Amino acid sequence: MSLQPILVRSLARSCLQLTLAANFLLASQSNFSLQDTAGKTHTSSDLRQYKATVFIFVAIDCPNSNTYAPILARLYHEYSPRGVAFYNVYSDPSESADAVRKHDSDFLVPFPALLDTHQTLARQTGARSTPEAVILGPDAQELYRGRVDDRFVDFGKTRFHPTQDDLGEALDAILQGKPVPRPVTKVLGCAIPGLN
Amino acid sequence: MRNPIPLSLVLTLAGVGYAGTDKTTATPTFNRDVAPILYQNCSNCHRPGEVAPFALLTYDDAAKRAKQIAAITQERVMPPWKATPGYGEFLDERRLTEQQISTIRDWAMHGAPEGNPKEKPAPPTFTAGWMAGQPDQVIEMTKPYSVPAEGPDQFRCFVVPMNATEDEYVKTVEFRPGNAKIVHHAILFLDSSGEARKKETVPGQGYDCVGGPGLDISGALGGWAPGAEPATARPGIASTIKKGSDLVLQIHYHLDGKPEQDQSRLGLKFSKEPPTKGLTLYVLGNQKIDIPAGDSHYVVKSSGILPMDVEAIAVFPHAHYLAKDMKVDAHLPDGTAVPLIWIQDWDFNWQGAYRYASPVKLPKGTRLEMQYTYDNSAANPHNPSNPPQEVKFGEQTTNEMAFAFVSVTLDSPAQVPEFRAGTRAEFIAAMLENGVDEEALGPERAGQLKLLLNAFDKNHNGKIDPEERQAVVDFLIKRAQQQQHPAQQPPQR
Repeated sequence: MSLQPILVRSLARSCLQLTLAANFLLASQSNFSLQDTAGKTHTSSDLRQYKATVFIFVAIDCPNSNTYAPILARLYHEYSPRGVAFYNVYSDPSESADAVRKHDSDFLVPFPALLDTHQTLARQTGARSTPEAVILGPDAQELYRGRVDDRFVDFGKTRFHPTQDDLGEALDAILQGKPVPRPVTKVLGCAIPGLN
Repeated sequence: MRNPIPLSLVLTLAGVGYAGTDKTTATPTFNRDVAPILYQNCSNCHRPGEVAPFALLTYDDAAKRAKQIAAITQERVMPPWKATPGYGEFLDERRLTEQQISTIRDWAMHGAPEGNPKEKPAPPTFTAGWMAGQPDQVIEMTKPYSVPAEGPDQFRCFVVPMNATEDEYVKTVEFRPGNAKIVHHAILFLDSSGEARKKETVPGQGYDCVGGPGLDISGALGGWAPGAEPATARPGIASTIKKGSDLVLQIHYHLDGKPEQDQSRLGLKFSKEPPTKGLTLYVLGNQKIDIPAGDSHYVVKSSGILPMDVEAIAVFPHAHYLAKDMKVDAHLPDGTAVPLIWIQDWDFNWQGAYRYASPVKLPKGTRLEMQYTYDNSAANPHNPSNPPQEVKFGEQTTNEMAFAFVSVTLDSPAQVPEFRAGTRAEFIAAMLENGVDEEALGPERAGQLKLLLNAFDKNHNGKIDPEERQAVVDFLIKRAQQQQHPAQQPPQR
């Protein structure tokens, strides 16, 4: 009887280790090859060129992700000179390259948009909503996954001023070689079709 | 919502019959069950060119968002409708039934099936352009107005000449946002004083106005929020536009992530006949607001007595970001309580006029009461100040307001001045019941009120007692009549 909790705990521990190992394996096997709207191919091996790579899952008709366009442009101008790459990722198969190109041009997006037509990247990173930001390191290790900031509180409820700039704080920590303070945060936005 | 038989009723009846015969296999499908709900309640805004960010017309539109639609309707975030059911009965109520909500939920839970193509309803048809038909006059912002990609919401008042050469009687008002992606709501004021024009330093580009147009308005033509249908006045009722008036169009812009432009329009239909009933606003409000920083439950109350018989046709509750609960009631002279509106989760972004399904009769002597509750704590995400600050009455985003604008009709247009004089007299009498608050009123107004108080405070206790009150009211009404008659009606400032 008294052994049981220990057994459970050790089982739990080995499960956790297994999951971590699996995650690591999955991450290190993270393997994508996607085209941007200009026809240029971007692959997982590009990750090695940067200290960190930010993927922002967005959608043309998601107001929540559209709101962030100027904020992300600012983050790009601040962090890209410091070795951080930025991509918009479109994972709704019904969004055409033309529509995406027009959208990102209208919203003055200064970095490339990847067409995740088969939702490969969304599945590999676990992104389920827009706007969900995923930061991967050079070895494809996940460093951050979640919101850009905390302005969205609930469906239809927006904070007057965001109080946490989660994505910016994560990038600051990564560039300083420190652990990300909140490596996973909750995203409030639009569901990526077919993955929820 | 204008069908002779509400579709929701048909659906409910159909649903009851269906559940009775075949309970186990009643998985809802898009074609049979969900599309009619969406077409009736959502597609009017959720279609290309309208305010909603995406369309809800096809199976694909809905299926890819099935779970989100289920969650948002369950929480009643959509369709947007803030009035508590059973607390006032309103026209064009944008509210799903419990049955409709559970149909959407069951459909989403079962993988959002499309269903039998034969059961697919015809897609809804919408009037292109003006919903109420071609207007007699279209009034457009004189120039496009540009907003940046991001930043705080903007509240802008645009002054548009209406070029009326004689008084005009408006039956139908339809506001069309020029750019539906950024226009969040609009309130339509009239100015016959010429003051508004002076405030617009660059013609056509408007001026900042968070709380209101910042002048003594000469009238109003209602408001617009997404989903609102054009309002047509009942027989005998019309809004009067005095000749030479300007439209002051207050627009709330919600920036959407890219630079945008707007040039909104207003369509008016006129009546040749002058109205047979009087139409005016009864303003219930309290400017004595001082909410301590951090106070999560600050209550503001106000009440007023109607000086004559009226019928309430609409109510427009107004506050800024901190209000959470707003309740307005009428207490009739016979003791009956009539609920006028109750909003339990006020959202500044979804304010608008609520029109009563049928006019609410409020006899002379009815006491109107309002009770608004505010949350000035850090836990309120709408709080514009972080950390919270002390908040007082005012027009800025960081100020608060407490108003209920009740649109009322009177038996004849000739009664409007008398009604206004009467409400003003009742308002002043109510103020004097607590003596004269010099600090709140400022020296000039306090001085005038003290003269009045001295004249009618027979027992010299420094305030007007109930038995002294009627004399004050009678005096003020008589004085207003005397001011009105000798010199016709003086032009407003």
